[in-house]
Amino acid sequence: MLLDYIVPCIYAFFACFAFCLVFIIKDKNVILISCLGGSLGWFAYLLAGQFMSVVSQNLVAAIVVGLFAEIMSRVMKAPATIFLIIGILPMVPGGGIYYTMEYAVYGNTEMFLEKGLQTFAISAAIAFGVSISSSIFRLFRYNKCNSK
Amino acid sequence: MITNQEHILKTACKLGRNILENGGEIYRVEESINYFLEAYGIFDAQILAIPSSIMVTIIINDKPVTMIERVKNVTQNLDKLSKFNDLSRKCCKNTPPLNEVEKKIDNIRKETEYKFSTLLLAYGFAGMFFCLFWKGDLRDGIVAFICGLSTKYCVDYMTKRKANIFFLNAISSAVIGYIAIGFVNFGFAEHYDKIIIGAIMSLVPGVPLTNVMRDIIAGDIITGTAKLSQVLLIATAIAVGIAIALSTSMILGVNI
Repeated sequence: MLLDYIVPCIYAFFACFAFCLVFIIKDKNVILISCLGGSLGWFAYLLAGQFMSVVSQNLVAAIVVGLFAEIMSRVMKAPATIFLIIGILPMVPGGGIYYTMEYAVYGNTEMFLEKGLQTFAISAAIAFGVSISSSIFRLFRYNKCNSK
Repeated sequence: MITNQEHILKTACKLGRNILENGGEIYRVEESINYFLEAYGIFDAQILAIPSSIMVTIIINDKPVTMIERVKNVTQNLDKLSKFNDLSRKCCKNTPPLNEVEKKIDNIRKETEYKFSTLLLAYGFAGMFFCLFWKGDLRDGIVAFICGLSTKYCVDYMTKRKANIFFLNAISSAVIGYIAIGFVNFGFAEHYDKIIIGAIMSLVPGVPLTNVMRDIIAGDIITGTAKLSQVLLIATAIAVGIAIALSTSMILGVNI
């Protein structure tokens, strides 16, 4: 039971690690933290799956990743985008795009529309969740020039 | 002769350009330029940045001076982005001499990326772990690893030949599709769908997707819509590419 939660998070960690190299991050600490962000986001996704639908599950996970990224950007003194881009990766609906296309190829219009709309809703939920947490932090943003 | 203020403008634009080129958000570009100009004593600058260009106008002795930077290649180089961001912060705090700033910018630009072999392995492992992540088994993972390697080759080959973004993604994902179906038909792996899903993760536009809403919420509507159409374009290209692979295999009578 516990393994169902932990194994995907470990895979997410390594997948994020590979993407850190693809996006050319060199600082070792930043790599470690952003991979942890990916696992954390997926853990939140799995936990949220107990209580709610797929779309809101993604929304919650995206908010968690967003908050994590904004906090870590203050701690690590690196742009929040880095942690966001990596942290959001496990949630990106690659599977959704694939199955939508597969239904289209097989001529299953009903499922194609359903899956397509769901994929679109998931993407919107991710984007919205991320923007919620960054908007919260922008409210309290310090002036870049006067900060240390 | 370049006056001091014009030199400040030039350096600010150069800094902004580099942040944009390495994958910075629009508000980050605009704010960096603005803070840079203010730190060096130029106020009331008019700055407009969109994904493909930066325009800055300042008034020097009642005479307007404008500089436009056209940005064509945006890549994701988060290491450089982070360094330019740092540099912009330091410039605001200490206002070092302009020549020094320009030299630092050039030095960061010259920094090497990872070696090709490292990147190749990274693409491979990205495919493999995402395949495992989406509940593929180990054999699927190995095929996804091979697909990842092919993706890197395809993307590099076509980027060198300046293929457009739709064609690049469509062909890369079609190659992924053929490899996956080939191996499954060969009997090596079982789930071609899991393999394809894992392998296309390195093509799926997760980055612009994350930045779209951030840009829109920050008030950059033009940028947001431009990036949104980019996301839709890439997603469609991937779907078309895999659809080509699937349907041609079906026509050829491959069991899938």
